[in-house]
Amino acid sequence: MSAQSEEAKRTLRESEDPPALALAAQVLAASARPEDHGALLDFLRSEEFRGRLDPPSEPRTSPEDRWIAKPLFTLEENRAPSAHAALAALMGDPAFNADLDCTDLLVEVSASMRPPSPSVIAFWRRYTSADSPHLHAIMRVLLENGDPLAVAEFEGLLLAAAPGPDDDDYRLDWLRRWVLRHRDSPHVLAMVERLVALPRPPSWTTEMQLVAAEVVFMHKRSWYRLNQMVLPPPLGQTPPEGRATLRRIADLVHARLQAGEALKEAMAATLAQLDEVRDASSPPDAR
Amino acid sequence: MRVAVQVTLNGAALGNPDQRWTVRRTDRISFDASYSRVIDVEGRSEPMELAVEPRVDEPGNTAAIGAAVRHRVPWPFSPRRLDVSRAEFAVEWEISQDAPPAVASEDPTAILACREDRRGGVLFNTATVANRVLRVEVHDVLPVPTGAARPRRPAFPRGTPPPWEEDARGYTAAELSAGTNLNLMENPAVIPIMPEGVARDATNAARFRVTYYRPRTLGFTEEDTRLTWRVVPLAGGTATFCGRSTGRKVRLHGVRQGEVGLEVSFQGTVVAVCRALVLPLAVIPFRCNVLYGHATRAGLRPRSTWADIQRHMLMCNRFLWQLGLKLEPHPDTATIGWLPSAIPAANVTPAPGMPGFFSVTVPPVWTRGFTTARPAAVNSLPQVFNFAYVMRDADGNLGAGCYTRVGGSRFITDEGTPSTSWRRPSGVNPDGAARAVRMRRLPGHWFFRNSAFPNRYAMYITNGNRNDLSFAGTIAHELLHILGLNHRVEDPALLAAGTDYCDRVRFPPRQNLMHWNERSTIAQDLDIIQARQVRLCPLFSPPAAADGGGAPAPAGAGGGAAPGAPPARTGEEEEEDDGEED
Repeated sequence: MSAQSEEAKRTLRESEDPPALALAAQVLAASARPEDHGALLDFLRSEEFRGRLDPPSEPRTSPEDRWIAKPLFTLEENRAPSAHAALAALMGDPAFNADLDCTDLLVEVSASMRPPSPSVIAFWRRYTSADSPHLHAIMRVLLENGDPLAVAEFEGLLLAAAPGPDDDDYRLDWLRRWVLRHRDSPHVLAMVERLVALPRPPSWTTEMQLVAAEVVFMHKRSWYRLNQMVLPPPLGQTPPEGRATLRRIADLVHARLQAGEALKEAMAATLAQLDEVRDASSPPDAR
Repeated sequence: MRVAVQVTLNGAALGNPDQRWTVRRTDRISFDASYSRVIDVEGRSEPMELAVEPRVDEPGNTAAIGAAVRHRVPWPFSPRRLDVSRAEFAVEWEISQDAPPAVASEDPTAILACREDRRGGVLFNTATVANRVLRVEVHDVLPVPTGAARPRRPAFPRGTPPPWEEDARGYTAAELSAGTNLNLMENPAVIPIMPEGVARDATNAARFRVTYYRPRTLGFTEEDTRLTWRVVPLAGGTATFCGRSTGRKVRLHGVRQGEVGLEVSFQGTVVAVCRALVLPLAVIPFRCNVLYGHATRAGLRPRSTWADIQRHMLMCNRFLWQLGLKLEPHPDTATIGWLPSAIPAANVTPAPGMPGFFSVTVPPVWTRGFTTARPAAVNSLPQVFNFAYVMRDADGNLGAGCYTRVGGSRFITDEGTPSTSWRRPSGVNPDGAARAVRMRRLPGHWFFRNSAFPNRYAMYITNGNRNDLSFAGTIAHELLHILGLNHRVEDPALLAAGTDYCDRVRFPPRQNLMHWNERSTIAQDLDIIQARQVRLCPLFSPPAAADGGGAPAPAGAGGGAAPGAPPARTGEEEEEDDGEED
């Protein structure tokens, strides 16, 4: 392993060939040794190295097409704490993040950094201003991450958002795509319960509360554009804790909001299904 | 039982009206030569209709035997056996060639073109004096489908030399970007009628070619005089040859709107047919805006240069030419279109010497990481197609079309032989007779609400496209969504979820440009039923100026073509597509 690491480091120092550089970087990224991750971090922070890895002459298509994506994704998959520590260090590196593709890639890998460290949370906060080109990707990744801290970040950003007159209301997008996609998560459902129960801050209206309720009980094709169809997880995937939350959300909607017929019907249908859903962890004879 | 039978062909009575037959159940009546007619089908486009009305003719009983048969046979009138059944009786009849063409040679290896088929399909394989057959195809899908989707062909006698066929590959980026003529793609769905004042020549004629023949030993050349082509007017359409009408390849110009059949003959016998619509060239005026989010940062500046974009448009136009469509830059550089308050008019800069092309300085989130469709509308005008080149959207799409409600029925139907895209049964031997093909339209979607963006047609294209062919394929694909086309073959996951945008034709499997994710090196074809649909889009029928701000009609160099809708049936299911507004 060590010899392999040394060979990889030599390649990283000397090669001008992007595929070879990416491969060598992946060797270090996949290593179990913290010193390999440290060495890789030094290379990734070097502007000269990044210039060899992704020469400016190569057409810039999408971040995932960049050679630098390979070691970053390998680090993400590595369970060693030092691998994620290297990623967290890059998140705090302004020079690295001057390249928007690199920031986009770090946003993607942050989905699996659970629980998110303070530096990861700081990274999310740094790039979620209303005019940030990373805002919407981070909103998606927060719920993909799914940790209570990440969900709390999502909730805070959702409540603070105030779309301008030129914008479509992107909160609808966040709710109908990302919340709906993770509506089997107890943490996400708990957030929705808070959103429905919440005394309303200025921009969080009754209409938005109804939308928050709709996305855990309904699914409509008309919510989505041709190229962004989202499918909800099967109801049976929701753990008992989440199912109890769903029932409380339904109670809250009935008690506090004026739900339309479609939502009422969807809630009734969901609750009826919940009655039939057995806890997957229950023994077969438990009834 | 004594029966009388009244038989008419194309309205004229056949046989002896006083003739009677005594028959028992399951008996068969054979009609004599007086029930045959010689009809000159040279240039004939009207369908043939055989009517047969049998009745009992006994004292006190002259009841009709079942419902009368009226068998309508549209072009092409290839020799074949036909049958129609009723519960009470069946009629078998035949179209045959009156006189075999003269054999030019006594050479035992020569081929005599004649045909046989018993499946009801149009047949153009040929039997011979020397146990040989000839098969010729003019397939309207290019590249011709391969594998299980390849055209079905009759069995050839042992020892028949192999076929001639060109590689089943699409056009390369180099081929699509070289030169300037738009009529690159062969066997198009539409033969365009050039606008008045435009000289008709080889550069703007529709190009057709033979796609397959067997045996290859015949060695047909591009100008081979043994193969002769003829235009058969259908539904009022007419077209004329541009240059010769012989050989493996010909060119045609549209003359009168409608539909035409093209017959290819060998030794006086039709050996292949194809079909095309004849429609005015429809010019789509467009604007193209490149949205820059920063003066220097590469991550906020789409990489396409003006030259790149012009090349993308050229390649896209070559795809669209198959449907008789052409994108032309809108000449108005002075009028600033829709802008959000975050983008002042001073940020819009016309490209020097390039009417229709603009650069626009925008906030970063208008060119990168956005989820809304609104960047596509930047600097847009009503009834002028608006393109926005951006860095990337939040989902990593290659591009997205922004639809307005098109409305209308959910399905459109095409009938004819061969069937559109040779969807099976294609009507070409050994397939059975072609059946009507029904396609589900995309009648609108809510990227834009008409109230906010009246009569707006737009798309954005992202840096995610890796090369020119990807850009051109994305642009053509998204534009055709906007004109009402669904996916020809859909994502299986969406089909399984019941949330698909499949057009339900599902053929060819890879070659149609509206395939949901096939590479543009293969997915290049567009067919007749798609050509019928796109002309129904309101983009081609501008509303009056008072109608919701739809002010400027398409202008462009084409002067606002009024292409009209081709004959099409759209009224089978009149319900609107639901789920538009939320």
